[in-house]
Amino acid sequence: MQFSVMEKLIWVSTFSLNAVLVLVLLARGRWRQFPTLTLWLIFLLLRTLVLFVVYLHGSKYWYAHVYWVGASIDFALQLAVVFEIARIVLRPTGTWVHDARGYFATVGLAGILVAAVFARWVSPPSPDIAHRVWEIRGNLFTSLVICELFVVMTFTANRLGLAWRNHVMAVGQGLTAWSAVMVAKTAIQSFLGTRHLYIQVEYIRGVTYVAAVCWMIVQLWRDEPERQPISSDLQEYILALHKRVEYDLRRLDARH
Amino acid sequence: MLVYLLLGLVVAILLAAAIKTQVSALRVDRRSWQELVSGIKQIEVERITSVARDYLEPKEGQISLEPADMWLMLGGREGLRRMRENARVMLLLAAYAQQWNFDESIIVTERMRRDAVHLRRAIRRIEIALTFHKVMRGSATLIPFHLHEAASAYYLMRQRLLALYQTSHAGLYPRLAEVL
Repeated sequence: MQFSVMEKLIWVSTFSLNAVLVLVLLARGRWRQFPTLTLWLIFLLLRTLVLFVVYLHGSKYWYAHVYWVGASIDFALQLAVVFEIARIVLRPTGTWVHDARGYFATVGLAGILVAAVFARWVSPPSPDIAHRVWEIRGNLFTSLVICELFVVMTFTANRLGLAWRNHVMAVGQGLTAWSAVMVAKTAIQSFLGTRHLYIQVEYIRGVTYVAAVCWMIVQLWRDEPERQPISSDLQEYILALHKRVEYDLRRLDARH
Repeated sequence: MLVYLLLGLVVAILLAAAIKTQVSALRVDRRSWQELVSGIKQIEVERITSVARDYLEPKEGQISLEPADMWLMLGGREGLRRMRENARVMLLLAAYAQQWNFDESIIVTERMRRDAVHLRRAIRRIEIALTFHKVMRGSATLIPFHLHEAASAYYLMRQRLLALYQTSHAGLYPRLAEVL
């Protein structure tokens, strides 16, 4: 297997930035709010290391096996991350906000069904490497599901007037951007197959992931700003109101 | 080829929805109390209250209010649209109060969300009935019931929000009462 310079660059950047993000999550104590995200990132690091070792010493057969097992665990953990964010946003008090669970579950399941139909229906032109067809189908299914779940979750939260705090917002934005690019990438690959622009489209996905992780690192490093109880304008308004009340009270006292 | 056209359409919708929902979430998070309050649309509160109380507090002659009068009192289609938009802002205002009075606010907001569900459902049914009244003849006869439900849900949301601000932030209460 030969990798291009760009592929190696994206690989190294992804690994290093994932490691930095894990360090930020641990050092700043954010892992308490995002335990599944932390676990997923640690898994990605370990998977990269294992794949690297297999790449250096193992065979093509073992590399493919480790890759597919890793991809399955990766998808399960990605789903868990979506539900972790949903739990933070849609269950602010530990119980599901009314109307959120039903809506999220119904639309989410419908989306999974649609994704499964498309993944089975597409036939990417890839006559030379048979397993690539299933790789594209698998990627199309997982990316459609993850992106759709992120959209449904954000839509549900907005519809119910649930405000997002900074950290969960950053994680949501980063992963939504990445999953949206993943969807576009896999849709293009399912149409063009493995012969045209396959690697170039992979680069776009890689660069987007690197950008998303950078964004999450910066935002998770920063503390969430304490919301000002009231703005300066409102403070002035309240002070003026109190003065007015005091003045009125004095006038009333003077009359009696 | 059809599958790729459909897939392209689904992907385009998904990408547009991803951008739109993220932008909306950002807007919700960054809006100040003043900005939220300025989003409240002007509405004939007394008339809505009359329709709601006619339903919630039954008295003698409880069927005297005519459907046509109710429709006018709620401001017709435009009035219903404003009620729905105001309900959304009222929810955000209730959620905003969590920073001063978390315990009460979280419960009141949840109650208001349930009211908002009833409000949206009633308005949706009215819209469906108005659009398809020629096909679904029976649906138009249910409009007065939905009008009562919409008015009651809005009235309850307003009362809950005002009561919440009365206990959690008396300083902001007068301004809120003024716009609501």
